[in-house]
Amino acid sequence: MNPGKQLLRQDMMPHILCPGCGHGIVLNTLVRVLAKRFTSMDQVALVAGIGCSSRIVGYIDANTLHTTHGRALSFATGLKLSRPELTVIVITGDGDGLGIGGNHLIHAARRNLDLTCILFNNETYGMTGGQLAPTTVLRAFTTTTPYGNKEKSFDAAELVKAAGATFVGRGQAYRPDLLEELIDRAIAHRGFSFLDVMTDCTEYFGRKNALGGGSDLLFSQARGEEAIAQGLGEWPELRDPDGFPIRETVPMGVLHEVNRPTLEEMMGLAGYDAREE
Amino acid sequence: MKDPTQIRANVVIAGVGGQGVILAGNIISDVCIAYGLDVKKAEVHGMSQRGGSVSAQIRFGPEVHGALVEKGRLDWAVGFEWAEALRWMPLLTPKGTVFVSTQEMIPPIALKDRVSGTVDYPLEFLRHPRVRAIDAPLVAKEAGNVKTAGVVLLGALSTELPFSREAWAQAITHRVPAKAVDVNLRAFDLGRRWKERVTPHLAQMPQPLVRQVELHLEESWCKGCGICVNVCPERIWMLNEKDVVETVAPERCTGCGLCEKLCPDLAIDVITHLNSSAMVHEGRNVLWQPN
Amino acid sequence: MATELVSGNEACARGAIAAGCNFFGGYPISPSSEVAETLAKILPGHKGIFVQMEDEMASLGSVLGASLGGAKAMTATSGPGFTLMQEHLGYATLAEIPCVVVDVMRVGPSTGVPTAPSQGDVMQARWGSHGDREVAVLAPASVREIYDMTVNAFNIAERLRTPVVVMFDEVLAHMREGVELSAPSHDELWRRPRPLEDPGPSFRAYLPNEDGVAAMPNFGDGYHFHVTGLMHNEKGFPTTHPETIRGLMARLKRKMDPLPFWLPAEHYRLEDAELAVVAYGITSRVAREAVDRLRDRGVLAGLYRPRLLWPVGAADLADTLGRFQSVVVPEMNQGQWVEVVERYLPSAVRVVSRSKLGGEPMTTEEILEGCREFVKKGVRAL
Repeated sequence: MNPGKQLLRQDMMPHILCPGCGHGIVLNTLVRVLAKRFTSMDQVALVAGIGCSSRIVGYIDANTLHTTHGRALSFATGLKLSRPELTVIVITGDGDGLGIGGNHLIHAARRNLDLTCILFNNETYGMTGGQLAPTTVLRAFTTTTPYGNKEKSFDAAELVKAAGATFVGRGQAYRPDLLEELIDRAIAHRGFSFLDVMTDCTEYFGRKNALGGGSDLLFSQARGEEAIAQGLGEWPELRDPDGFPIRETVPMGVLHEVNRPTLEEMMGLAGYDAREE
Repeated sequence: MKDPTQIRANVVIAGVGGQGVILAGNIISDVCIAYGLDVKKAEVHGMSQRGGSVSAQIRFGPEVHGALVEKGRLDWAVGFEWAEALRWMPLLTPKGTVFVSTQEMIPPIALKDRVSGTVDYPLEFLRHPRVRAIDAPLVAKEAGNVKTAGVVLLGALSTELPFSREAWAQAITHRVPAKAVDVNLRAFDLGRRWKERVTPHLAQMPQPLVRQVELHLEESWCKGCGICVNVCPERIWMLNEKDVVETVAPERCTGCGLCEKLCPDLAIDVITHLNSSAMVHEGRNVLWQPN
Repeated sequence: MATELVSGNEACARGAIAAGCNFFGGYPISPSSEVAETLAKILPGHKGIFVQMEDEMASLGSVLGASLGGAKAMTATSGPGFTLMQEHLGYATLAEIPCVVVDVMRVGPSTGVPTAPSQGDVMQARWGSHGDREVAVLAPASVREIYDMTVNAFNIAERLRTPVVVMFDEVLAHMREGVELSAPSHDELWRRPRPLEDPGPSFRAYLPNEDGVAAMPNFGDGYHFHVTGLMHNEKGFPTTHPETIRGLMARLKRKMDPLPFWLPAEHYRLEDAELAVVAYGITSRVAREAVDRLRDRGVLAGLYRPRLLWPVGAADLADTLGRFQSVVVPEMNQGQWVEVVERYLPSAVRVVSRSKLGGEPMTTEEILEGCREFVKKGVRAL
């Protein structure tokens, strides 16, 4: 039984995500971690930007803030500085966090404020209909790359690590147990923690690239890692016996963890409370 | 006690792969040979690496022809694993004795009833007047190594056979690795004192717990993506004509929880109950603690 | 109380402190930077947080986040940065998050003249954010008034749960005046309405009180509520229901109705006037002198000075100026607020725009020149 289900805003369910959407699995895992970690959501704030990923905060019965496109981290920065005792978790997507919000992401990493940022990486702009994202792999088809993508994609984890984040990890919707551990550790980490989470867009990215349905995409996450480890090729030439492209995946787990004073420590904010009276 | 050079008897050692069944059979055979007896030993150990059933049949006497024990002719069965000993009950003579470890090691292939996660471990077996139930791993741990549980049971068996302790000790010393001789002899001697360690009355034993799985599906949340259908190792889910998932064989659910964790719509709940066996059926996880 | 020599930007920062501001998130831009610099220095001593963000979007974002945590939060910027903040201004309006944004106007469009004054952002402040919304824009005309209106801005923001813009220009920002800055008393500081009910599933974060303003808990105080920039119902959850949207938009407009009464326009020598000058901000200072000089020469002139540019105090504007034959509106832009005057005055009133561009402040002479054609023959030459 998922103890996190009691954290859902029942009257808001079912959620708006498409059938088989990997984001739903991350939501599933996230609420599981929250329920195990916190006895109450009173001190937990979830801040999100715009996009499919960011819509999930509306389904969690906590302090939830659905902000503007790409700017969730700036809201989270103000919230955390004004109320350092809150656990602030930022939910963003690859377009939201690396495209329009890329600047905020690297600066949040640099500041090392005690935030947790979970980036749902489905390699496309899902909510707007499946356009090219900064994470779309080479040669992939999207509605704005009808002849295949010609731009290199971001490695979000490497980017954020280089920007100064003190905890960087990568997980997959396909491995909920690993993801559960990563989210738990990211929240526990003191300082800016970042998770690049591989999810799937079945309805747009999946269809455009003939990747099959929800479970096909999900399983391809695991197959890709093995295949690439064996040097079998690159996406999307790399195909499984059924002809589905195998998704290029990258190292999983905790990729970087160091200790560095957080911004609130540098500011001496222990016990700070911006509330009036 | 009978003359050790004239005794005629049949013994079966039963267990699962890795418990030392073959070793125990060899030790018994060595002891018999030391007394000049004719010994025939038959082994089954095909699935040993996967924890499957392993048994050794030892027939000995002044002269033995066939290698297999016939129905109603088994004098002693030694079960390194509780359920494995059960298989040999039909072969027992009316006066036959079973020494059995209360340890449960369920071979995957034997796990027929995946709903409750149990095989049938009827408590009646332990109440049988010919059964001596011993928590052999616990005694073995006391001796210094849990792996000597089989030798503990050999020690228990040895008290009903006319062979000397020295003959057994010599065979064990010969068969086990040099550095393990001491711990095995300690285990053997503790096993010989099995009467002090036999299981107490069943009423005093802790209630065993049985796992039961309940599946909940929030139909209105399900969008029919089919992930659970494809991810379930037991294939218990399928999509119905409305593209909503339903269970076709809930009784096969093992409670692994994959469908719950991978459901993007949080529509599935796998609820695992640990119930006392009395509420479900007898058996499973009987734990006997030493006094 | 001692008289001090204080610049407009410093007065703004000190007004913020007086209002209880305890969070500032900003990004450097001329000619507003001294507001940030002053607050960086004095906020920590007043239990406040100063953070320099990576851009103006992040600045206002951090301000809104801090406000949700319970802080009185502010940012300051200038034209180009103000443009970047427009999305978050719209967000703050719809999500009803109190905040104060200071816009020190400089010459535009684009980078324009970063160190020269203008009044070119009046319409940007009104219509800059997409969609349709009511806004609150204050236009101080002196250092002392910058101080006071920064306090007013916080009061309005908190009381009405809305973003409030304080607009002045490069000259006022850098001009020093001898002023006595008396801090408002505790009772003069308004607070956001707090929910009376305990947290619970029945709590509705956007259920308005009679005045159209909903009680606002802080994040972390036990009320689990959702804040979104999507159209939402009274629980705060997204909706596309047309009636709900119409109701929400009407309420957001209606709750601003008291503003013109809280900040009425200044009427200077208008009672017996025959010629009215409408001016605000830095231009109103020379307009006042022009009015005096016209009066010295026997021309019955008066000044109508809005302190609140938006929402327009239309009733007072029409009542006061409707009887005039001519109204002159000097502005340091191509004619922005003049459209408001035209809109609310009867067509019989001749409304004339006098604009000045180029980065130089308007002068008294220029306003006198602009009034010349309305002066009756026979009056002493101007």
